[in-house]
Order: sequence, then C-alpha cells, then structure tokens
Amino acid sequence: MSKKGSTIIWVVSVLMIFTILVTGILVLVGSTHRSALYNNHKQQAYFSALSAADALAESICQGEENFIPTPSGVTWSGYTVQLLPNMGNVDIQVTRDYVRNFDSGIEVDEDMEMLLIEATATYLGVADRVTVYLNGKEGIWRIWKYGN
Amino acid sequence: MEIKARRKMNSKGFTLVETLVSMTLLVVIASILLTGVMAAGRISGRSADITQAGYQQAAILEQKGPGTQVQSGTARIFRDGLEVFVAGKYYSVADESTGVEFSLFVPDKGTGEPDV
Repeated sequence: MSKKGSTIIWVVSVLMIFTILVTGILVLVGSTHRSALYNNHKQQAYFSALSAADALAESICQGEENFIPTPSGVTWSGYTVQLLPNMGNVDIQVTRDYVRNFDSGIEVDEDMEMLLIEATATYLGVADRVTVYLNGKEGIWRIWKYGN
Repeated sequence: MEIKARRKMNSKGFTLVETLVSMTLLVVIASILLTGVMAAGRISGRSADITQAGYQQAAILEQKGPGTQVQSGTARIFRDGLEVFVAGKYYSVADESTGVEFSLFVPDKGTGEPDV
C-alpha cells in the first residue's frame, strides 16, 4: 500500500485533536464562569427579594392597612418595591387567609389570620423568591416566619 | 546511473524549505493553542475567585460583618396609586478585585419585630 501523503494526514489529525481539546476546555471553562456569575446574581436577587418582603411586612406591621388584601382568602398582586437601582426589580403578591393546620387544612383559630408575602426579585435576568409569613389578630400583624 | 542515484538519495528526508515551512506552521498553531489554554486557565482562576468572593461577601452581608457599608435610606412601595416609604438602612459589601457586590435593605423595626 502506498504511504505517500500519509504524514499530512497524521499531522492534520493530531492538530484537529488538539484543537478539539482546547475548544472543549474553553467551552467548559466558559460554562463554569457563567455559572459563577449566575450564582452571584441569584444571591443578589435573594437579597433584593428579602429586602422588599421585609419592607412591605414592616409597613403592614406599622399599621398600613391599605396594602392588606381584603377580605380573607384573596390574593393581591401588583405591588412594586423600589430599592437601590443596583438591586434589580421586585414584584410582590400577598395572600390573606385564616391560619390553618397545614396537614388537615382546618382553621386552628377563627380570629387569627395569616398574610403570605411572596416577593420575587429579578437581578440581571436571574430571579429568586422569598416568602414572609405574618400572623395577626384584630388588625395587629407580626412577622411569623420566613420561607422560600 | 549517477544522476538516478543522486535523485534517489535526494528523495529521502525533507528539504530545508519544507522543514522551515513546517516549523513555522507548528509554531503558529502551537501559539494559538497555547494562547487558548492560557486563556482558559485565566478564566478558570477568575471564576474560582468570583465564586469564593460571592460566598464570602454574602456571609459578611448576612452577619453585617466588618467591611459592610451602611447608609440610611427608604424603600418605596406602591400599588394602585398608593405609595408608602419605609425607612431603613441599606447595607452593602463589595470585593474590589472581583467586582462582586451585594446590597440589602433592612427596615427600621417598629412594632413588627418577630416573636423569636
């Protein structure tokens, strides 16, 4: 069998393998870099959502009744919270309900009500959500717990 | 006979021009590949720094630890034409080498402090 020209095939093959390897490494490293940036953007989105939810919860706890959905059992959306310009955008929805046993769904206290503040923040295209629960009786609301 | 023998001898190995051209090509291609590998190394190192700085700065901000900048301000809440300003403090942290920065608003507590 003729071996003429076989060297160039070897050289091209080896070069192609190296090029594919380097391209693969660059793609992998680029993906890792994007992932690092994504995680940090998600962290800021979490902080922004927490900030907004806390601000609304505090305003309700201080007696701002106009932000409380009425009557019990409804959900209001369309809340907007403006923080610093570098903290992204936050949208909030609030649900008012009676405090129920989570397993049975039965009301545990007829007078005790619950507000569920769900804040979703978007920072540089990455979103995260924070939920704040408030409970209240006779118009006095207190922060109960936080969730995601 | 003598010329044939010389031609046969000349066909073995590479000429100087072939060697120079192949070496030049090798250097050029190796430089490109090496540049790619070095760029990958730099990006990888920076990604690790960004990830590390992200964890550190987030932990510092959550604990309001050293290096946290504090500034008084308000959060503006509005819905259906109703607008309320909540007073509080903006906490922010930044890592200059990586550009990682986080900000958090904490409202001034009134009556709404958690029971815990």
